[in-house]
Parts: sequence; C-alpha cells; structure tokens
Amino acid sequence: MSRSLIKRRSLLQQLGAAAFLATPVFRSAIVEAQAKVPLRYVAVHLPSGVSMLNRNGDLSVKGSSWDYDHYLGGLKDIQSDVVIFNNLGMPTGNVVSSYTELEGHGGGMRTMFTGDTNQRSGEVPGAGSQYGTINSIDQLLANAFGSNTKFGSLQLGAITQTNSNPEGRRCLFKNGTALEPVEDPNATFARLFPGATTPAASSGTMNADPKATAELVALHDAGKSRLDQLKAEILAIKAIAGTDEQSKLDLHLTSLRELENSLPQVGAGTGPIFQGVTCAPPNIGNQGASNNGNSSDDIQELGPAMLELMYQAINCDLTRIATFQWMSTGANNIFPFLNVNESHHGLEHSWQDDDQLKASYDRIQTWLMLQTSTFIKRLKSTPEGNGSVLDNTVVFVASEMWGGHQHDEFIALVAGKAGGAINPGRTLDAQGRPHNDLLLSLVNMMGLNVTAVGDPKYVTGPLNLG
Amino acid sequence: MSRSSHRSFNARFPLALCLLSVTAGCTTTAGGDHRGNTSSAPTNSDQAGPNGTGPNGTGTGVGGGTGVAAVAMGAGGSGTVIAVPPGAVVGPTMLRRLTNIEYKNTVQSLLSLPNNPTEPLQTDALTRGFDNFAATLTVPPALAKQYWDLSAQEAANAFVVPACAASEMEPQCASAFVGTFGKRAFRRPLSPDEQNAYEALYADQRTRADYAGGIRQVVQTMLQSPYLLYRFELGTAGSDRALTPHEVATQLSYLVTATTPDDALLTAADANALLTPAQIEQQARRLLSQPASKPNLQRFVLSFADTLNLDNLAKDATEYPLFTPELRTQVQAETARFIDAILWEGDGSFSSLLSAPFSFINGKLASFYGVTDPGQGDTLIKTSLNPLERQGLLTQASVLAAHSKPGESGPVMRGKFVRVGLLCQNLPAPPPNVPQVQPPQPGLTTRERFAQHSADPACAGCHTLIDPLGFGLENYDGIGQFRSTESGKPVDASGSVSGTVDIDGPFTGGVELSTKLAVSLEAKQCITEKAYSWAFGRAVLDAERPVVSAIATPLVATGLDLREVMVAIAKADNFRFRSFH
Repeated sequence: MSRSLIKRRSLLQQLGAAAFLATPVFRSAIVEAQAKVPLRYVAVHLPSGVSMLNRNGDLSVKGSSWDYDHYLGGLKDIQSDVVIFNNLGMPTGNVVSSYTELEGHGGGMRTMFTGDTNQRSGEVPGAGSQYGTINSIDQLLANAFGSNTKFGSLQLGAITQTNSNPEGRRCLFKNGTALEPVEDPNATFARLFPGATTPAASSGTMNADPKATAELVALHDAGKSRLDQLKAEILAIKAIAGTDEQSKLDLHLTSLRELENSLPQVGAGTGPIFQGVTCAPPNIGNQGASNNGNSSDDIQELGPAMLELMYQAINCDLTRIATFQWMSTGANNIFPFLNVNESHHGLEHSWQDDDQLKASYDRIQTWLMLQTSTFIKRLKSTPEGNGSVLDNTVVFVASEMWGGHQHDEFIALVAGKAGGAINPGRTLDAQGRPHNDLLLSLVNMMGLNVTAVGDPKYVTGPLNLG
Repeated sequence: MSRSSHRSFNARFPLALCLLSVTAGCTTTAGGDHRGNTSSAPTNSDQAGPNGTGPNGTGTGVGGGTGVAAVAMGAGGSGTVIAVPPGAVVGPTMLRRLTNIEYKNTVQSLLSLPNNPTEPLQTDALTRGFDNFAATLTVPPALAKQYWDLSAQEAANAFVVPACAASEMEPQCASAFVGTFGKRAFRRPLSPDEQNAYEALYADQRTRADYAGGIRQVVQTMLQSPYLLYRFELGTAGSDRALTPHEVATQLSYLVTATTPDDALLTAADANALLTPAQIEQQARRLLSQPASKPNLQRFVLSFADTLNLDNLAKDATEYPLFTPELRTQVQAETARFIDAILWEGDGSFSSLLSAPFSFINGKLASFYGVTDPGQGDTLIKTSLNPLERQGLLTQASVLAAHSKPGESGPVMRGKFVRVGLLCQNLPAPPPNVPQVQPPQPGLTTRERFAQHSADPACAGCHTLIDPLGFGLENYDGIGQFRSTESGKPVDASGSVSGTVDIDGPFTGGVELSTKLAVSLEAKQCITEKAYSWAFGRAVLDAERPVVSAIATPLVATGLDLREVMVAIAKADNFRFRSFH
C-alpha cells in the first residue's frame, strides 16, 4: 500500500470517517468540464405578507414602490441579480372567484409552493392524507435530481414552532406528506457535517485538526494538478489525432473527470465542487440546546445560523435544493430587539390601520429580508466557473399573502440567473397570471421537463424570464 | 516478392465451398475475412518496381503508387525528407493503448523495479485470441482509476528518487530529471512546452512537499500520461508519412520485448539511426537477445493458440474431477515451457511447435499423460511422449481443454480452431435458431451425436468444413486426456482436411493432423498473418496481404521461424510508414 494511502487511511481513522466530511476542501475547477452546470433551487418563505403597499393599500404604486430603498434595501447592491415579480395571482383572481379554499395563511403557504388548490381544509392537524398526493416544487426537483447530492433536498427554518397550528409551517410536501422544517442549528450542523466539532463546544473555533486538514487539502491539490496536466495532454492529442481516435480520447477525458470528482474532498456530495472557495462547516455561534418560546429575540442568532448552514450545505454541494422558512405564519411572535412588542400576526391584520403599526410591521419584514439578502449575497460572493454560485442558482422569495389575507396581486422575488435562464435586474409585471406559471418556469429552468405543476387548472404556461 | 506464391495462397476459396453449399440456414456472410478478394485490393503491388514491397524494398525513387509523400522529419530528423517507397502499402495510423502486460513492463523498466507492479488492472479484452487489438484498448473510468492508484503507489513506495546534490540546486535537478525521465516515459524527447509544464508541476508540488515529493509528483503524472499510455503513430506532417525515429523505436521495442525502448534504442532514435531496414534489423535482433523477448513471443504463440487467458477455464467437476485449478496451472506451465523450448532452445519454428515429439512433464502431469514420473517434483522435465498419442502444441492438454466444452470434448470448437485459428479461413457465424445437438447420453459417442451436422443439410454446408477436423481429435476428452473408448465404444478418430491449399486428405488422430499442419504452407502463411496482425494491433488489410506473403515467402520453405517473422515484419516498409486519416 502506498505511503500516501496509508497516511490518508490512518488520518481518517484518527478523525473518524465523519470528520473527513467536515474538513475544509478547496473546490476543484471542473466547471469547464461539466457538460451541464449543476443548477440549484432555493426557496425562502417570508411569513404573513410583505409590506409593499402603503397603509391605504394603494395598488397603483405597486411595482414602482418596489424600489431598493426600503424593504429590499439589503439587496440594493445586487439588484442586477434580482427580478421583482409584480402582480402574480394565487391562483389568479381572474380564474378563481373565491379564495376561501386557500384557507388563509396555512392554505396560502401550501399553495405558494405546491401550486395545488384542490386540497381542502388542512387546518386540522392530523394524518397526511388530508393533503392528497401533493408535491411542493422542491420535491419535484428533488425527485428528479436529488440523487446527485448527499441530501436530495433540505428543509430548514427558524422559529417555526410558535404557532400551535402546524399549518403555519407546512408548505413543503412529498406525495402529500408535509415536510416540516428543521430549525435546531446544532442538530442541523451534526446532520450536515457529521463528526465535526460544533463551534459551541470549541469556543467558536473551527473544527478539524489543522494539520490533518492541510494534508487533505494538499492531497486534493496535488491530485488536481496531476489531473489538470493529464487533461491538457489529452486535449493536445485530440487536436492532432485523426477522427477515428477522437472517441477514444473523449472516453479518456471522461475518465479523468470522474477521477477529479473522486479527489479527497469535503461534502460527500457526488456532484462537482467548485473552484477557489473553501467549503467548511460554518461557525454558527454559540447556540442554545433548544429553541422555543415566543421570545423571538432568539431569531437574531438562530436565523443567521440556519441560513449560514444552508449556505454551506450548498457551498459544499451537500444539496442543490433547499427551502428556508422564516418563522411560522400566523404566529404571535414579538420582536423586542426590533422594538416591536405587538404580535406579528396581529400586525399583519392591522398595519394598514395605523402608521405606527405599519412601522413596526415594516421593521420585522425589513429585518427578515435583510437576513435573506445576506444569504443571497453569500451565494453571489462565492465564485463558480466564470461567475458565482448565484449565477447557477435561483432563489425564490415569496410570502403567502399580503395584508388582509389577500392572495392575488402578490409579489415574489427571484434572485440569481439559474445558469442563464433568467435575465435579472428587472421588475416584471405578471399581469395577474397564476403563480403556478412562475412555479412551472422555476422547475423548467432547473431542467425538469413538465408542462404543469400543481393544479393544472391554474397553469397557462411558463413565464419568460430570459 | 513472389506474386505467384501470393496468388497460390489465394487461388482457392474454402469459404466459398461453405457458402456455395449452404442452404438457407447458413447464408450469413463471412465476417471480416476477404481472403482471395484480390480484385478489391489497391494496385500497389502491381505497380511495384524492382524494389517492390519485399523485405528489403525501400524504394528511393518517386513512384506512381498511391502512398507517395514527402514529409519532413520530426524530432531527431532535422529536415530529412523521407518519401514513402513506391508501391508500399501504407496502413493507418492508430492510437494504441499499451496492454496491461506492456504497461506493467513499462513501469517496471522506468522505475527500475525488480518485478512487475502487482496492482490490479482490468483484464484486456481478447480479439481473435489477441489482447493487443487497438480498437478495444481504451481507458474507461475504472482503468483510469487503476492507473491512478498504481502510479500513486509505485511512485510513493517503489521509486527511488535520485538525490539532488544541494538544496539550492533543486530546480536544476528537477529540470534535469524531467528531461531524462520524461524522455524515457514518453519514448521521445519532451517538447519545450512539455518540459516547462512538468517543471511547473514539480514546482507546484514543491510548495507543499519536499524535493522528493515534487519529483514523485512528476513520476506519478507521467506514469498515467496519455503520452505513455498510448503508442503514438502520428509520424510527421503530411498525409502518408514516415514514423519518427522514436515512433519506430517504440514500435520495435513493444513488438519484440513488450516494454518501453531501452537506452540503446532511444539513442539510435536520437541519432536518426532507425531509418533503414538494415538498421532496424540490427536493433530487432539485439532485442530478440534480450530476456524480455522470451515471455513476449511466448504470448504470441499462446495468443494464436487461443489460450492466452485460461485462468478462468473451468470444467464440470463431476465429469472431470481431475481438472482442478492446480492441474490447470500445471498444464498451462507445461505449454509455456514447451513454447520457450521450441523458440529459444530449438529452431523457433511453427513447424516444430506442431511436430515436437516431446513435452515438459513433472510429477503432477506424469499420470495425466500416462508417462513415467521424471522424479523431480514440480520441475518440468523434457520428456518424450507416446508418438501415437501426442505431438506438439495441438495435442497438449491446455490447448485441447481450452477448445472443449465444460463437460465433454468439442469437435466443433476444435475443428473451428484449426480452420480459423491455424489456417486463417473464416467461417460464417452460425445461423439463428440452430437446433441443439443432443446432449451426452450413455451408449452414444460424441461423434455419433454430432453426426446430425452432416445429416441435416442446413448444417452440412459449413460443418463439413469443421467437424471432420474436430472428429480427428476425439481421442482427447474435454480436458485433453487420451481416450481409446467413449461410452463403451472405441473412439473413431478418423478425420479429413478439405478446402486447403496443400493438406487436403484423410487423417487419423491428433498426431497425423499436427504433422499435416506442421508442413502446410497455408498454415505458415496464416501464422505470419497473425504475427503481422499482432504487430500492428489490428486485422490485416486486404491491401496488405501481398506484404504478408512477401514476409512469409522466404520463411515458409523451412518451418517458419517465428523470431525471423518478427524481424521480417520490422523490416517491412509498412513498419515505418503510415497513412493518416
């Protein structure tokens, strides 16, 4: 056995195989070698509406009011990566005469991510069968592409348990079974990076033995240097070889690319890892053992920690499909750190009545969007190929309604380029088309060839985002 | 060359007998062989001048043949212009991956190891018994991983990094190492770009490892470089072209010794001293005296005997309890030793391979062959065998067992082997839905069961060319043991040869058949063709058949010395020229 293999094996035994997964690794440059750039879908749910309107509900200002000076301030410097969708219907008011079937908050968020409307009630906690066989679009994607990564999809969240009604946190479904978000950072850390030492237990410092880490990184880098040389040689031969030999050389090149994928690296994802960025377990701060209660001050720590975990899961290619749920919808959280002592749900129903209430409500929503923006910017600042991870990702940000339990004419954000399918930096008026059309567009651009998602009644065709 | 002898080998078409006489059940066209199809061959041979395509036929004039090209020499050639000789039949360029054996020999040589590396490599597929046909030699992911692992292990554990005199000299040491090791690994001097790339690879690794680690990185990469894994025949620029001296050196080295060119050969290439047939012959003969040529030519014989990979040969344990893995190993060793003896202690001829009255026997084989134990344990001792039962390769247990079914003998397999494998005649594939020959049963001999082939007109067309050859070997059971009776009846080992140039007629038993084949010009021509095919890693082209005949002609008068066949192939013009597609 080779010395290097012995070294690596003993290293693994020393660290435990799990720790190997948690060791930082440098992404390798194989984007150029991929026949198809891997695409990622991320959804973020904001609870209880977004305050794009003034308190009089003046619809005439919608669109133009969605500038980056207010609520979306966090995205201002990357607005060229964002599309604001205006005037979507859920399902469109032009099609459905009554929204009662959407059952308010719970039904709204369910419909938001599934496009399905024919399930009723669901307000009653109980068996999953009440949801029929509906699938949220992340699960459609996970079913098709999830096997590419260690985690087919991730469902994460922060403070989603405060509403005693589980419908407030059920927006993701797999064949009718609700997939509730995981919101414990420590448990999530352990699940994503098994064996790594949590920051809490090591005073916030990173996990792995630096020497072992350095050796693994060196192994990776040395291997990559060899492969780069070998690939360059094959390409040089291809340039002068006759046509009869091209397929032989192409096979050889494919074999080298497979070797590249097997270089020692973190993440355990079988998919490609990318250039120039270290993938590592995040420092999620010193999290408490459990998180509960309405004291939403905890969200100051929990939200960013969970978002950072989601970011690193993508960065390490542990998953390419993830959803993040901010809190539960319809819940009575308060936000002392924002100087908001009214319940969130209460504000949802009253912000239009009072400037002070609207200001409180705005502070919550603005803060949530700011954290979300930070996450999106992390993707933007992570190099991949000639661009960023965000260029190969679509981040779908939406809420189930806006003031007064209204589901029509709502707003959604789409950030990222989805590998070129989206031409961002625009505000688009959907002219009341059903939001199923947007969902369809999203799964289409991820490579899932379907002509409808959710209730086909509310599908008129994909939107052109290019 | 002798065109008349060429014609004589192609004047008769045994395949046509099969095709003409077949019924609807056997109308499949011949696969791949176009023996006798001279009308489709290019007219090169007809245009050949006095120099023709004979072994010494290096033309110097500008001829009217199809393959004339004036090309500038590449590395080492410094502007010499070499024209493809008029009338030369130029074969295609190919990217030939080293076989597993060649690769391991190469690594052993490059790293100065005492033995072949032992890491596993996936088995090379056999084509017509040969493991070196270029078309099947690719680098799929599994093999790339095995190269990756092997090179890592050998570079790290087995390779001794030459010391560098002083640490401040390391870059110069590394540069020199890249140049010298690279030249041996790639079998040619590195280009300046390649030199730079590998120096950079060293320097990159040196940032994370010591000097030796940097050198090992170079070694590890070169051991799996496509420039090492593939034998290049890109020659120099132009359509039809001369191979570079280093490409000639590579081809010669792998032909004779199945490993990378040694220093003497590389030096000859550097000096542009592999241009003429005489220069190549001199090197070929030098290489034939190297130990490495021994296992290599042995593999050639095993290949045309279609016995190259017998390690998985299994027999029905109920029918043949004697045929244990141990016995299989022994009969393989017997054949290998026998081949070596003929090639290196005898006249090296094909005829001797088929006619030698002895073999090599040890304690484990003595009772199997019914001879007296030579009394030296497992050591194989040259032993005379019963001249009525055994004579040469065709009557050895390994060859017979390889051409038998698991629980019975195989008259069809054996007959086909003789006709296709030793006479180079092709047979159509069996038609679909052939009826099963009735299974073995008491009271019925194998021959009686296979009589159906001659009774059924749907079978007879082809099987009259096969079965009478195989029936003559019925004295040997499924593991090659001699038998006089089967199912309580005496064995009928009468057979007949038909459709050949020079050995048609009845015979009885394996000894008589071997004697016929040993003197057959057609068989010798066939083995020459197989050697040519082996040398080039592909089937012989129609247009090349005159070349093969020209190689064979001076040698068939005697027993066809296989060593001389290799030399003659190396001297042929085709060895140095290629057509680029």
